[in-house]
Amino acid sequence: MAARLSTSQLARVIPCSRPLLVATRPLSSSASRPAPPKKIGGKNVLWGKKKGATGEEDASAGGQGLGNVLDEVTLPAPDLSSLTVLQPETLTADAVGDVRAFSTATLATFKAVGIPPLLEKEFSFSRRPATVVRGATLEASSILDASKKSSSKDSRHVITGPAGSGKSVLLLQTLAYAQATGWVVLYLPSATPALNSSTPHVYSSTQALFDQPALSLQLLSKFTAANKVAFKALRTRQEWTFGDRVVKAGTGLDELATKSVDEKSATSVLEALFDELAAQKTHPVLLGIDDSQALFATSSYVDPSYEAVESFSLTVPRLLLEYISGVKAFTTGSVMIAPSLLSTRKSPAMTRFLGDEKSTASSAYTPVGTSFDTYTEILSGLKQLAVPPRLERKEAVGVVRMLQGWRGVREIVSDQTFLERYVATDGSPRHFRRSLEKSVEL
Amino acid sequence: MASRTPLGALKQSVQAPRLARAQSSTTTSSFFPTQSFSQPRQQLPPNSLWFTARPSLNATLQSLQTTLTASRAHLFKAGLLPSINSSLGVDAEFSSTLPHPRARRWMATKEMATYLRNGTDLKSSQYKKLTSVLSNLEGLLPYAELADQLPSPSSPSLVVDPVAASKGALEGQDAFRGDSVSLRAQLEDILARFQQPQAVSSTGIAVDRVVGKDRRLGKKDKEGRVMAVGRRKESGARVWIIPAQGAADAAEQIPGRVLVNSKPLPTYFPLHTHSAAAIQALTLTSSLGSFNVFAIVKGGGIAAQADAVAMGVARALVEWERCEVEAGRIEEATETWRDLLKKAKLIERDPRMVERKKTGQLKARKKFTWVKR
Repeated sequence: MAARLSTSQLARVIPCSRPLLVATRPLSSSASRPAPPKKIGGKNVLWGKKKGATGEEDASAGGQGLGNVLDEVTLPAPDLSSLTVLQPETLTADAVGDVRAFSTATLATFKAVGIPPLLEKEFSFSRRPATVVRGATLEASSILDASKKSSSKDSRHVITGPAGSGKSVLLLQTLAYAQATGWVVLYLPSATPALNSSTPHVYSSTQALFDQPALSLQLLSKFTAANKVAFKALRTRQEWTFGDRVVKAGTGLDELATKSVDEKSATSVLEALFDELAAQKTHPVLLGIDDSQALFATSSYVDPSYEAVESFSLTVPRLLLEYISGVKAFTTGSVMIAPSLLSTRKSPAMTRFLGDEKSTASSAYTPVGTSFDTYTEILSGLKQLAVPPRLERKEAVGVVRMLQGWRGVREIVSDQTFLERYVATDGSPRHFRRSLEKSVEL
Repeated sequence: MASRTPLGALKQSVQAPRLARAQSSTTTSSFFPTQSFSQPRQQLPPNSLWFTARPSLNATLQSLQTTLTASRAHLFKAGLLPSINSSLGVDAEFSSTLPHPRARRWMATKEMATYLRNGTDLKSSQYKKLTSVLSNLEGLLPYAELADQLPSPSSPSLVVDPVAASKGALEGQDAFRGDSVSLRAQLEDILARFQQPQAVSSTGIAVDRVVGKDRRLGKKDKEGRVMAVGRRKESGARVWIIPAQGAADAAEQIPGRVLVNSKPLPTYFPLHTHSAAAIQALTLTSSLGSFNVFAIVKGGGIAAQADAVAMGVARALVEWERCEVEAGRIEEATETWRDLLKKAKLIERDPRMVERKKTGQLKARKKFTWVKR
């Protein structure tokens, strides 16, 4: 029987002024009653049909009154209510290879901040997105536990591994774990939008940097949406002035971040939010950035003389780099970044840092720029958290079970098929999963 | 009789040879060379085929035909053959005792041409004719063995060195005949002259050419690794397989990795069809986790390289099983891996290669646009 947090323990962890619905209901790791099977085309489906879609609109299939005529020939939706949720208490050494569903709170966070598009596609296959617990998951969760009481300067990690080895998934699992243990989570699914000139940039003479007001506004709303509870609980320690707007000390951070914030003051508000989060001691903060190699390279922005702008000359990337490099730090917390090897944005400094000298032999004729040393210095201060390139036996079996759970694999997976797929893909998590999903032997 | 005028000298010089003809050749210098009429008997060509375009070849063929007919006549008389002239050329009764057609090798075309002192290369039709006669003679060997054991009649004396005989020695062909004691020995003598010399190893030991199922498809070394070669189109793959020792930590790591050019299999062959083809032999023999595979492949394209690796893996597995059976560690099954993989066409080298472009055409088969006028 999994240990349950009592309501009083919960209340201590998440102090709040008014009782929350969660505090009154006991936590359980499985549903008390299995949910009834839902019809295809019901409201709760992730990919629900839009009303008024053109299709068979003859008299016999008129409207929802008859229901879905294909019900008789299609299988009912798989019942995934018995899946255990990814909870910190149940994350023991025996849990390697287990399939765990993401909690509703985590799914709400994913929706608020967004997740990498590949993973979003994978999760859309099932009504109840789940993940497989790996050895690396336990390692990351233990890192978080260890850094719960120490400054984020001492816990800055970069997740390394070859393409398709599970770096982004690990970051999501860490995010879920952190949220479940009461951390404040600041997650970016990709650092590329901050550097690919997709939002306007304005030169700010006061800061001598290029400001990104629209981006700052987006991030403020996303971070607030992801940490509603925590931001409501936390209070500002000092008074902040943003032009005409004055925020008194003792205001909730959610108010600071969202109330009457316009583009002019967005960046200042974002920096103030980060300062407040860095100063507070009650909640450890996890800064997680996926697809982060763009931060360590020249951006796509140009200055008025059409020269490329370095990433540390833009406000938002600079802010992130400050926390990554340890120049600024959260009182308690951790910083975790992951590169994306599928992304087209490359960073010479990151490539050199991750790979060995042989594979990244740069020609003397390829200019890397003067900022190469700066980025390399920042990266050299990060600790590497390596994700194993090959799945272990239990983990591979877990992947098979997860796919079978939502009928992602059509064939009966015998030992022979399992081994065949494993050897053909050399145990690479993404390749192994795709080889199972793509098989159409019925 | 020297004349004072140049014309006179000329006349004298013309007359002088006439005088010299009658006299001996010890006369004083004359303008024209002297001809001696004391010639020996005119040298005749050794045979009528001297005046053909390829006298050596034709004479050899004729000699061999004569030998064949004489041998068959002798064997017919002894009651061992149904007829002297066989329409098929070869009698099938003793064909099983003869070595495999690929094993009884005649000299190659160029070597044969050199031996026959043909002057030019042998055409394929000429070579075929020669080897067919030789094969017919070889077919008579078992009968000849029987005939030698019979008391009568005595075997004919055959020309055992037809090439030398065709050169035309003055003594005639009798010098090249063998003794009439053993027909089989004479036939073997003839055939040995046309056979390819046996392959000799570096230490000088004669190496037999192995054919058919006895052929070794791979090589096992001291450390227990089996190496085999696979080829397809322009690709060649060297494949090593090593039994994976994964029993101890089978709980965690799955054994049996496949590396191609030091890269994992899905990295080198991203397409599923190629990576599945490369390990098809392992799948068919259900030995997926049992072997670690290391392949070095070069040449050709991606699909060809995948097929080359597949062939190499299959051959290596066959060789491994054979070594295990020979060592006694495994019992030979009714359907061996060799039979299984042969049915799956993974043992044979696919002979299809890119067809050459021909003159007067755009590509190998594509012709230029046909124009009516």
